[in-house]
Amino acid sequence: MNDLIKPKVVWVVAIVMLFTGIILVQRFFADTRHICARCMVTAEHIERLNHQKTLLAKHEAARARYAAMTRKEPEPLSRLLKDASFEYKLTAEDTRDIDGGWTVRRMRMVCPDAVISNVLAFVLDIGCQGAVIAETAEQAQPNWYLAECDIIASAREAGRGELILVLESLAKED
Amino acid sequence: MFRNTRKGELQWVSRCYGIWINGSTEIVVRADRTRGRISCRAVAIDDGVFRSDLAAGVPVAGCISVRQSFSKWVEAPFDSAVKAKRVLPTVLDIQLPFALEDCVYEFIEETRRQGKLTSLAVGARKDDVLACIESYRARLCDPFVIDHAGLAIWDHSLSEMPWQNDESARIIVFMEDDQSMLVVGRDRVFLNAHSFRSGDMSRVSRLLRIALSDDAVSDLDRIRWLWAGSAARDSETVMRLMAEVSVMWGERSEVVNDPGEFLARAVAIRAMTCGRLRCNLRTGENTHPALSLRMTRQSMRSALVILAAGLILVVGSLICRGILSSQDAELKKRFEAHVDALAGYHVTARGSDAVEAVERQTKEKIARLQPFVDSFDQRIFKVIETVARISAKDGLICSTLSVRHGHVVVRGLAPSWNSCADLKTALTDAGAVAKLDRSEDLIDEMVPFTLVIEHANE
Repeated sequence: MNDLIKPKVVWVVAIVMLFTGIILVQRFFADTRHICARCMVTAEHIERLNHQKTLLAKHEAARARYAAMTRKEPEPLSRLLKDASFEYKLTAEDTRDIDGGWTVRRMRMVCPDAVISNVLAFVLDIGCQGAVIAETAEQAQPNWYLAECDIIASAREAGRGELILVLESLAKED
Repeated sequence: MFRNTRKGELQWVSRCYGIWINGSTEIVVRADRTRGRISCRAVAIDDGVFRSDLAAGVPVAGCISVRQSFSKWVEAPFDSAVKAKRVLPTVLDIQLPFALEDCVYEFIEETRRQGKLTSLAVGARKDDVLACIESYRARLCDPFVIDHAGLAIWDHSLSEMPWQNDESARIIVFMEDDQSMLVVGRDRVFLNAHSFRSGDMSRVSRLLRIALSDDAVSDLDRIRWLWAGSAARDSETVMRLMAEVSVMWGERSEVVNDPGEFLARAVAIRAMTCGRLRCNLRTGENTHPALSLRMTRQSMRSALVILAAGLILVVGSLICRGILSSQDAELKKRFEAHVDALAGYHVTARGSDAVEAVERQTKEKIARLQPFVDSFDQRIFKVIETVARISAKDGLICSTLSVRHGHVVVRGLAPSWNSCADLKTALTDAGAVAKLDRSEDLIDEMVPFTLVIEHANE
C-alpha cells in the first residue's frame, strides 16, 4: 500500500491539514476573545437585572403583605378621630388606582389652631405612623399613614399652630 | 549545502561491511557497533557470515579511488554563502577537464579566507561511479555508499593517529602493489589527494612541492608521514621509499595499524558515524534502493506526524469550538429566561435593549407599587421628631415645616449663623441634597433661615 501512496501527496495533505489546524486554532482563539467579551457584557446586564430585581423585591414584598390581609379596607378615619380633643376638618380627596385592584384613599385633615404635639401624638396613637400593627396577617388591615404634613407655627403662642395633614390608606374593593 | 559536520549514510545500522577493491583484490572489514563503540575485524570475501549477512541485507560501504575521482578546493569571489552556492558549480565546471553535468559531485566543506568563501568539492564522472558500483556487484555485494578514498584516508587518519601539537603537515601514502594514493593536508585541513604509480617518489615530491609550497612547512620535523595500504606491511619498502624523500620532506614516518585494512576500516566507520568530510557519491538516480526506501519511509513518517498534528489541531479546535458555542448558547438562554422572568412576558429584544426594556418596566412597576412601600415608611414622623428635638436643643424657632416623601422644607429663626448646622446634618442622608439659605437680621439678632432637603432617590 505504501508503494502506491506517493509521498508528495501525503506531504501536501499533511501540510494542508496542519495549516487548516493552525487557522482553526487561531479562529478559535479569536472567537473565544469575542465570546469572553460578550460574557462580560452579559455579566454586566445580569448585574443590572439583579439590581432591578432587588429594587422590585422590596415593593412586591410590601404588596404581598397587603395581599395577605383578610380585611382589605381601613377603619374609617372619622371613626378613629372621634375622640380627638382638637378641632379638625376632614376632606376626602381623589382616590387613585394603583395595582391589582388596590386604590389609594386620601383624606386631608386641617387643624386650624391646635397644640401641634397633641395632634401629632393623637395621629401616632391611632396607628398612623405608617406601620401595620397586628399579631397575625389575618388580623392585619390597611392603616392610615401620614403622607404629607404642613405645620405653620402660631406667632401668638409657642407650640400651637395650623396643621394640614394628608393621610392615605390603601383599600381593595372585592 | 555547506554543513561541516555531516551524518554518515549508515548511522542507523549496528553492522556494516567496508570493502576496498584494488584491481583483483578485495579487503573486507566488518564493523560492529556495540554500546556506541565500533569495533572492526577483517573477514574474507568468501566468509560464510559475510555472505549470509549480505543476503540478509546488511549494508556495504565502498569507495572510489583517487584516480577515478577528483577533490578540489574551489574559491568563490563572494563571502555570501547564498551567492557562492550559485557560483561555485560554475567555477568548478571551468576547472574540470570534463563537463560537470557528467559528474556526481558534492561540496563537502567550506572555509572563509580573506573575505572569500572556499569550498571543497569532491566527485567523479557518472560512468566511473557506475563502473565502481559494478565492480562491487561483480563480487555479489551492492554498496550502499561510495565514499571518496582520499577523504576517507585523511579523515580516518585523524581518528586513528590524532593530530599532534608539533605537527604542521601530514602526508599519507596509501600504497598498493600497482597504484598508490597520496593524501596531503596541513593544519588539520585536507588539501588534496593524488594517485601515482607505486614507488614513484619523484612524482610524490613534485606533488608535495605544489601542495606544500610555503614557509609554514619549512620545519621538516613537523611534517609527519603515514603509510597505509597492503604494500605498507613491508617495512623495508617503506624505509627505502622514505629515504628517497626524507631530505626534502623530513624523516618522521609511521605505519598505521593493520595498514592493509586501513581504507576498508575507514569507509565502514565513516559510513556508520557522523563527522567531517563525509560523502556518498552514490546519489541521485543511482542511490541504493534500500536507502531510497528508507528515505521515503522517513519522509512518510514525518509527513504522517505532521498530518496527525494537523488532525489533532483540527479536531481539537472543532471540539473546543463546539463546547464553547454550546456554553455560549446556554448562557444566552439563561439570560433570556432571566429577562423574561423579570419582565413577566417574553421579551423579544436582545442584549442591552432587553435590559433597558426590563428596566423601563421595572420602573413602571415600582412606581405603581410605591404606595405599598410608602405605607410602611415612617420617615415623615422621624423628620418631624428630628426637627422638634434639634430645634429644642439649638434654640431654633421653626415657623413652618413642610414634609412630604423626599422633600422637607423648614423655615424659621436661628439664634446664630451656625445654629442650623446640626439640623441640616441630621436631615441630610445619603443621596440627599440640602440647601440652607440664611440672611442677616439685625433687629432681634436672630438669623432667618430656610432649609430645603431633597432626596434624590425619591
